[in-house]
Amino acid sequence: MMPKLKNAENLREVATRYLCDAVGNEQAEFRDGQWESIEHAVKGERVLVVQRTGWGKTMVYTIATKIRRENGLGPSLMISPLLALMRNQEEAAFTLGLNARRMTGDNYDDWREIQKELREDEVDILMVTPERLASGHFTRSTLPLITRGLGMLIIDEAHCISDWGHDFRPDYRRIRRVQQVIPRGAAIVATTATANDRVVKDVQKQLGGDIQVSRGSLVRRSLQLHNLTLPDPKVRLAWIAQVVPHLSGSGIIYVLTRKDADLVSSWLRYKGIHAASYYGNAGQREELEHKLLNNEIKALVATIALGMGFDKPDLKFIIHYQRPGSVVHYYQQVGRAGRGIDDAYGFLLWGEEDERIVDYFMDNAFPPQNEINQVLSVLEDADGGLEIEELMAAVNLKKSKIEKVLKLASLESPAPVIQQGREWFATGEASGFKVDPEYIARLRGVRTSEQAQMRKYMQHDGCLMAFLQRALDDDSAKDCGRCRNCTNRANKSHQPKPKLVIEAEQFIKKRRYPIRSRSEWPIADISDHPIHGSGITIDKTHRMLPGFALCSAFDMGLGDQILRERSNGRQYSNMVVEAFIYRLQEWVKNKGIGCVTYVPPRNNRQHVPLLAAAVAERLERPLIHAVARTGEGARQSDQKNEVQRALNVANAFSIERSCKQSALLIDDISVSGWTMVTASALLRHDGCPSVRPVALVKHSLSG
Amino acid sequence: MSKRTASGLGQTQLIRMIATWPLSDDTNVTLLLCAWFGGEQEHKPLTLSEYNLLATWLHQNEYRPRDLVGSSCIEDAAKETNLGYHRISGLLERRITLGFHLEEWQRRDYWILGRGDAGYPKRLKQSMKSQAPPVLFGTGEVAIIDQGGTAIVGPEGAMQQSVESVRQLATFYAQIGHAIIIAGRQSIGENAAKSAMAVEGSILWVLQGSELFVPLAKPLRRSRATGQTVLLSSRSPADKRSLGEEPHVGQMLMTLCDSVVYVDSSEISTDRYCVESALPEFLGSRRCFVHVSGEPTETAFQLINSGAEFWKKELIKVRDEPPEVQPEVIEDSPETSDVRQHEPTQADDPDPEIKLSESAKPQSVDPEGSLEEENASEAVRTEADVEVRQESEEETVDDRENFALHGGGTQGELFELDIVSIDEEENMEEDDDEPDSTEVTDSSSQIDLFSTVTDE
Repeated sequence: MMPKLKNAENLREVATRYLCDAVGNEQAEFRDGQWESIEHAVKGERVLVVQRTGWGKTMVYTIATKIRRENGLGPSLMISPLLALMRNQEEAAFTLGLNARRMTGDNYDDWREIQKELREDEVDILMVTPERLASGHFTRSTLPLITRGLGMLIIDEAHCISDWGHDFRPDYRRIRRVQQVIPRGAAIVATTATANDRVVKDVQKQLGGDIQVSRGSLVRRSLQLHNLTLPDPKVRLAWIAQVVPHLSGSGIIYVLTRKDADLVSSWLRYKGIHAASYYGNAGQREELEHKLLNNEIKALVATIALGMGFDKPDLKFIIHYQRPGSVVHYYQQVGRAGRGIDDAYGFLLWGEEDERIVDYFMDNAFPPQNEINQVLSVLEDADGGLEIEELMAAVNLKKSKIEKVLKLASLESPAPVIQQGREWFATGEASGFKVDPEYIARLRGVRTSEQAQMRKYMQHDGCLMAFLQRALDDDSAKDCGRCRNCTNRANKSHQPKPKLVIEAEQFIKKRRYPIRSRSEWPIADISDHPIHGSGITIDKTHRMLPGFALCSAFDMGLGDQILRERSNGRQYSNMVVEAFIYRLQEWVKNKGIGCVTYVPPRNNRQHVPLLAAAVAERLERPLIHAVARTGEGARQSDQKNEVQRALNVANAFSIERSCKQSALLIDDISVSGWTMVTASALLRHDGCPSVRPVALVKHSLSG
Repeated sequence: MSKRTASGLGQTQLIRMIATWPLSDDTNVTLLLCAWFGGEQEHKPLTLSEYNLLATWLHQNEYRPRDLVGSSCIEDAAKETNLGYHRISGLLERRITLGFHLEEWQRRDYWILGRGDAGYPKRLKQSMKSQAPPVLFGTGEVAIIDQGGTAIVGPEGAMQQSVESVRQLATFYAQIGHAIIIAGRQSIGENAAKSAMAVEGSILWVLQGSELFVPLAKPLRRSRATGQTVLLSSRSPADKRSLGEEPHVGQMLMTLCDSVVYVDSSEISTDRYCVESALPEFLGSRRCFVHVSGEPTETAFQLINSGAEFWKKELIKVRDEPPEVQPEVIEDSPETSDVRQHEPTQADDPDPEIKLSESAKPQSVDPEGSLEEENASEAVRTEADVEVRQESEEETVDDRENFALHGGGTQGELFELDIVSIDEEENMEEDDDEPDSTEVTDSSSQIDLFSTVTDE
């Protein structure tokens, strides 16, 4: 419905005035399509804006919101998966005198104030993530605070609405349905920087046939793209350490996993380059973003969590330590660089592990039917609802897999499960619920073809920028004249100095993998033993201190070797024992270790006792056979989640001899740590003053 | 005795639930005008009398509710009904908010039926005429609503002896093919439902809006899934207003039943759902029994003196005739889908509010809603009178909202689980540190009512 508007005849003039104010330039004019998109939104129509990052999509919905608010209409709701974008939005809206607020996981402290502002109609743009919408909490508790009703819906990263998009985000399924049932006449602005023809058509269809589309060229002229083949991680580390100091300004290094983020950032710091891993809690992330914005840090090493929505016009370089899953992801990430400067660089390195990691993500995107059945049947059998920990105790699946089942199922419509508070309930739809195999196959097909296109890009010998543009169906694609291929540098050597490669290899081998202390059991009342005391908290007098593992499973050869020796040999080789002792000798200094003990293995295997004996001898500490097995128990590695693992070892041990001095507790494999937490609690309950856990391998993939 | 569903069909021939999605444009607009989504302050949704007034104007001027969107008729409608342009347009501006609610209701497998929709229960239309709720919300087998049945009512905090009577009555009626009709979340209803479900009887459960949101326990889930239960309300599931009394529940319950059994108990009752207070007005048109298991109370004598009968098994007929209002049965033929797509048509189903409003023809807007239905038939007048009172209740909500929002009804004895509001719970879910997001206390969130309906 076209609302009655003040100054309806000279809206464009009004909007231009706001544009000038926002950019601080009296001569500012709208880009092609910008004003038209604003006009559609103001009139209560649906509009899809497909424009490259930096084009000014933000201006469309902030100016439209400004005009609508001045006409007494309700606030806009912006749904974005990107915290970084939201933070930028708050500032951008401020320049137009709009109050943009976000309700996200990193600002709970502000929620009460925001809720008050919502009630008093003082918020102009409310920003939330799709995940928050999906909980149902938003509809029941936040929406009612918006007393006038929402005025406009802004859907950021709208390509996620399409199953054909490169980004599969289950929570967008809900947004898709929401906008489908919104009665006609509502203002909806959907934006994306990355969508090919198929995705645009699909989003257009989902948003309604009469939607207006604004679409422009995706080329970024300042970018110089380079593809480099460096399969070995140590070589890539060396290359990065060699190149980054020569690049001016600051940049982002993309990795596929958090583990790699830690590896790369710690290596760069070791080499004197100011770098940090971008993950952890939201507060830390925000601080890191600020540091990068202010050039107080040379490089942030990030997973996909950083990038989309992060706006730093003078970002100088983007390095991909591993290749992303699709060309569109790559375009999106590399497109962060060089928005406001003439020269910027995008380096795409290729690693031998890339395919395996991308496959892992793809294989785990959807839970298989048998996992769905396991979770739903437990919920169906329950009279009432179950909390996630109760489900973990009843279903031997990883927590993340249980959560994935619940997420997927709860987004179906009608849904076989619903969440109320902390509890999950089955509905009448749970019985016989099946995920459409054709739907899964179609999504897998999309992912597989994206990977194939990415491989093609890595081998492409023509213009790299034109390849990216064509992949996104940008008709204006032509040779950029700047990329590695256009400038005939493809055959030049890019190998780093051998000395640096050796240094990187040693660095990798020296890394430690922390075993963290725990303050809570995964569920309450695990057993009757006093260590499981009252409630979920682990008594402070029963906790272990932090420790470490020598290596990670499947990590750079050593982990593989230890696992092989454990399966095939009778004891660990001298090489492994020496590597362990070498690292321990340094680590135990000043830690007041008085004795060495160990976790007794199942089946009376001698690997761990012999390892502990060797450590005790070399550290010149007494070896105490303190802990005994009460029974065989099930294999810990067969337990798939924390609750199952904690339950499996809850009664597995007893104290045979007391440790009255601070103890070093040795095991060979640490999966989730509950074995060591339980053994430590027993030791401490028996009077041991402190326990430090150490292990050969941290087996995090199965945890 | 063979088990029968309320629809009179064997289980293998169950009528499938009516698919109401997507909603018709008219129903969308009616929702925007009349439904409470929580938090409405600036523009109050229309009361029933206000909505009827608007519907009459639309009809007289050959418009449909959907025409209020995208045409200039809204200004004339607002002016001539005195409802105010800003109010009407403000309510219609809640589209996006409605979209979020609709998606959630759809995901929870609710149906929503506007008075103009073909699937709207005929019994409600025929009995309540213009006083029928503009929109109905529910889940489960909608055909049960038109079948009639026996309402089992009594004081909300019934004592053990009465509870036993309720169980026996529900079992008895379910076994002879009567649907059990019950009101609100209270022990009478819950016990009746448990017993009826145990013998695979049909249940029609009239609820206060947000009570629809309570997750169902296993037996109720199954009963709903097999088409033997329907839960419904005239208020939206997002309507969290707790008004102290919920007259719409009692009214609807009495309208939908063929007969009613009052289970006498000396327990002091709050009559939150206004069932007891609605009873006398329906005595003429509904057969009413009083079931007494001890010394009759004064209420029992009053009912008897007003025409009710003491309950005796011999007085109850086995239900072997098809109900008066025939549901549309979907035949198993290759041409028809087993899920009926809702398609409202004016030809099939003239808008009842428009038809009725012609006879009612309210002369002016009455803010108290007391000038309704002067020319209506006697039966309608009786119901309209009740409705007038109901409207008055609704009108006074504004003044006592602060009180009402924090008030709550009594809790049946089986509803004694965690007394935690949904909001509090969800705050816990999001994060322990999250601030409370609303001051509204939702009485229905005293879960798990339905979860406490345990296995037999």
